[in-house]
Amino acid sequence: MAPRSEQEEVLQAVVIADSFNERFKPLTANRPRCLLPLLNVPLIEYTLEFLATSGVEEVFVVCCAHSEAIKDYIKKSRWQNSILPRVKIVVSQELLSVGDALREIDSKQLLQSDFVLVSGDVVSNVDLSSTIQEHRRRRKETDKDAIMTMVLRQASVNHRSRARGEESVFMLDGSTNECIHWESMTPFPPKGFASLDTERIGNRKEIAVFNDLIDCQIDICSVDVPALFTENFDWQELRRDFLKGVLESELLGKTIYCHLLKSHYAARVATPHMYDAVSKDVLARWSYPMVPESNMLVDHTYKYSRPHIYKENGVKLAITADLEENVAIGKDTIVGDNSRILNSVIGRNCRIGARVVIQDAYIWDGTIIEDDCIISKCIIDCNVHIKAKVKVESGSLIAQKVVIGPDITIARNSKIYGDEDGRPLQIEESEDSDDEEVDARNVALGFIGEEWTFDSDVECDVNSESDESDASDAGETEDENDWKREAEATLERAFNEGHSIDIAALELNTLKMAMNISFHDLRKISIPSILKLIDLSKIPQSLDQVLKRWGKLLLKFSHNEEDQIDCLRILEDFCVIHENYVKFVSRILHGLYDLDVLSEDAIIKWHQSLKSAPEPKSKIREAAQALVQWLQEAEEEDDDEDDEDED
Amino acid sequence: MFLYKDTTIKSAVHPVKEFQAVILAGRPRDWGGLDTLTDDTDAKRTSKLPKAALPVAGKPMIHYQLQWLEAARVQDILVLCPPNSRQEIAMQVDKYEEFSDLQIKVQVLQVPHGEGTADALRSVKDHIKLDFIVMTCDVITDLPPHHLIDLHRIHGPTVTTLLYDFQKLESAAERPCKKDEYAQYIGIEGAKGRLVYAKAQEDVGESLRMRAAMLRKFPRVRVHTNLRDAHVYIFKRWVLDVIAGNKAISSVRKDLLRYLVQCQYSKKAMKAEHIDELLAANPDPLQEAQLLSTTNSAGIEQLLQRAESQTDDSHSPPNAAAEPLRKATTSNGQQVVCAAVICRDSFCARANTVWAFGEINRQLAKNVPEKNPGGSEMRAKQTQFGPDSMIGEYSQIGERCSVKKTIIGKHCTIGKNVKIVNSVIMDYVVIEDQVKLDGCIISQHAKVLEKAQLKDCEVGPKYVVDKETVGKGEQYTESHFLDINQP
Repeated sequence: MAPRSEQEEVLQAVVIADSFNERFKPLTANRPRCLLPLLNVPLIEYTLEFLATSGVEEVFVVCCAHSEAIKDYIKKSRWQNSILPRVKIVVSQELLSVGDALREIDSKQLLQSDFVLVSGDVVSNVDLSSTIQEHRRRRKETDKDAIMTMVLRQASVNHRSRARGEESVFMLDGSTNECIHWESMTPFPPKGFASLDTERIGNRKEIAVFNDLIDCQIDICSVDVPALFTENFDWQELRRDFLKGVLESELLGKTIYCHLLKSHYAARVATPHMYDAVSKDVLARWSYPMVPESNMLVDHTYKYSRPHIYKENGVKLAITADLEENVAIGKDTIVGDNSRILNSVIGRNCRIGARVVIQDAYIWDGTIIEDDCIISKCIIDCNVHIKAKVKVESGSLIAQKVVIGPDITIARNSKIYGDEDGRPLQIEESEDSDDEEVDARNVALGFIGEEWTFDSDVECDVNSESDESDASDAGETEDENDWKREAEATLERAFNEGHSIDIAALELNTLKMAMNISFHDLRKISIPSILKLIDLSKIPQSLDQVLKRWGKLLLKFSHNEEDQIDCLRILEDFCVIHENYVKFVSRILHGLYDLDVLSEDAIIKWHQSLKSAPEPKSKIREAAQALVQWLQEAEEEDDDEDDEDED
Repeated sequence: MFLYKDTTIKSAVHPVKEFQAVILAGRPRDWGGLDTLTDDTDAKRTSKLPKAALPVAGKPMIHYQLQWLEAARVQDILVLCPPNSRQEIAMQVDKYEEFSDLQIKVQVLQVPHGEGTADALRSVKDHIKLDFIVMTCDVITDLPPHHLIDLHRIHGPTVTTLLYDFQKLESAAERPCKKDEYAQYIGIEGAKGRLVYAKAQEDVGESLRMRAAMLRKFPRVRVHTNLRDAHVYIFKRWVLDVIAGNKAISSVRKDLLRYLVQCQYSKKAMKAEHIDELLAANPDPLQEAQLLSTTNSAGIEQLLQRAESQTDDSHSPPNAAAEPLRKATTSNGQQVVCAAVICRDSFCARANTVWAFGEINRQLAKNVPEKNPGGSEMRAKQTQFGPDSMIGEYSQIGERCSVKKTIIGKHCTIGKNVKIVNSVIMDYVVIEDQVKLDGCIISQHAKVLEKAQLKDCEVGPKYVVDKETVGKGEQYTESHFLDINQP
């Protein structure tokens, strides 16, 4: 067989144009994520441009939700008639994950050879052609089982365009860059270690460990990859399932390599937080030549001026309006007197009133902002009307056509969409996340207003690690402290922010699963926390109030009499330490009894067990004496009544 | 290089003491590498040599460290050894001093036997006044000392460690090493070459666990499987206070170094050993100077802060004062740094196993220019003496022998028709006719009688291998506790 020349191989790419999650809700209610405008250009333009510069000849855009919108968009765009690359749309209505998309691709047999796999929200100025060459050469010459090359960008741990809540550690062979281990290092639940199976080290001389890579999921795959997804029908995600599965399976015998980018820009708009980061990167021209004034859309007319100000034709600025830096403004937008705009992007046909302050905000086409508004760190969709004196606090997402105000404040991290008349409605954060494998707190890190960074000084146990068994002990004690801290923080949040009992219980239960702790542990944390809420100087009102509000939480963690006795023991221990609570023991017990948290049997049994207890527990016993007596009498009465009934 | 030469001239005029050195010539408890050949507890009775006195390519091991330290211009050297081997080691040290042209002061000190390396340092704490170098007596290197010392001078890390490529030794070896019990995983941070992970492969077991806190502080780490700790360290003086303050630190490599490595990324670890206070008490002169620099406005603030916290000290109760003081401590920006130097171009290895001992002997012998320093001219007819072999003074070789890749000590007598390959033969050994030795180590005063054929064997001191013995991979020794393979 004559060797195929490289020219004959058409370089193909697959763009996954569905995000399979709802992080941009409500902005993505009626358009897909890949059509969200980033600096007034739909995201997919960046992705297609990036593929075109890499020499891709054929692009398959796989879409599921809003496929019509994508089809329409492509039809109207310059990609419709482009020859290099040819853009084809693959629609399937039943996709739930990247895995499904690849299975779909596999079943349609569209791919001929190695291809580039990206999602439809990648912004990058990398020229992949050399990496693709490298991948092909590797398959031909050194390792024919190399099925994938991941393109990763080197950054730093707290780099702004490193997606929060999606951090991971890559361990590569030091000389070949073969990936030998991948581990998710999401901040929640906190992880003490990254651990590498020593078997996988084998004879390797050197392993490079990276905890600072930006993984924007640009992968160069061989045709085996979709086939493997078909074989393993439960694989959903590229990293968590596919990468891990391939690395951990000895049967498959496939290898995956990494290509580390030292220069160039690559990032994925995976969360609103990343939207903010990538927008700023583009404004600051890191993604050059993909900057506004290269006018990727035909009718765009951006011009660049310093310091990083981009204006289209027809922008009308009042003479006193102040564009400080990093600002892009679309056509025919009007900015009123004394308004200040900083680090922001404003779409076309917007009207900004007088004395408005806009900072770190993204305002899309046709939005009206009236006088004296303060807008910080948020995304405001098209045709929103914000009336005078509205204050939008950081982290909000506002869907299109909403009318807000006048004179109100939108709280942090609000997600607002409009009803038919444009009246604003809040989306309640649904606690059961659509994706069970993702911790809700990690998702929260993707919110646009989130300013969280890794603390480089997270404590760890010192007296450990001399050998393996020690090390595991240390891990446990660390976990123990972790969950205690976590649980206390969760409760505190619940108390302060006034969560409902169901939500607080759900959060604690999640914690229980994640940290592998027991109900006993939860009780041990929550009882003292609740008791501490009681203001001892305002007994009995405060006590009643607190118990009424939070007492039922304990019901969620105690299911039988033994649990209840356990509760009582915890209460008892608490009172030993906090002696000023002793005299209220009876009242507390009574309160909990009324709430059905404690049964009379449990209280009586517990009380009896204290009979011969020494100081200070005997005091607690005495304090509870009256209540117990009352309970016993009540019981006898009940019994009497029963007897009478029987008679 | 220039700097290095400059200091030589200076030190010749008036010796400026910069470092002290400690050679650990004892043997920690769990040290089993060369049991057949050496004994540090009761050398007299078993007539074994202490490890430091074992000959490597014709010289006792300790001479290599002394030589290295002399090249480093260290003038004040402490040799720590267990009581029973003191005499022998002192003798070797004296022998070295005779030949040395520089003024070096070597003190041989006794430390109780069976203690860890850090315990030994703790017991001689009062002798050490300066930053100090710690070496074991089994490390042999021709790395120019300034590679290590200059790093310490310039960056002032808490500890500077030397690492060597074990595979280099292995790949040059005649026989592969069967099992390397000293195998380590060494993690070195990418940008600055800091040592952030060091663990024995045995201890690591099935999964190599890296702390998340460490990975956050040092996001790029290269983990090496071929590097080994050469057990050459340069410590800051205050590290001794850490050792003195915590009796639980028993071994330099296993405990102390591990602590220091952890302190690089864990504040808690620093607090536990009061390292933060020690750091504050031992400010880095360069950093102090930088604080006062007119171009550094942040420095002034820090100084003011510090001054404030100090004045607070005198008025408020000690507990309250501790907090601002601590703040000042962290704000002066000092931290624990473990630097790593990898020896790539020079020879460096530890003779800590019999295999390594044999290999180092062979590989060093190749580079010794004078193969026959004593001029032993008892080459009989038809005897082949390979160019990569060495023979000591007053030894004799009979007719029709073949000696390849072998080091023969002093005063040895070798009979006729003897074939020796890849072996180390120490002093006063008698080898009778028609013996074949391959890959053996024969200790001093041992005898191998006629027609014995040994392969990969170790023969202890004064042991007599019976005639016509055929052995492979055996240990012949008269040890009072090792009772293996006695005929």
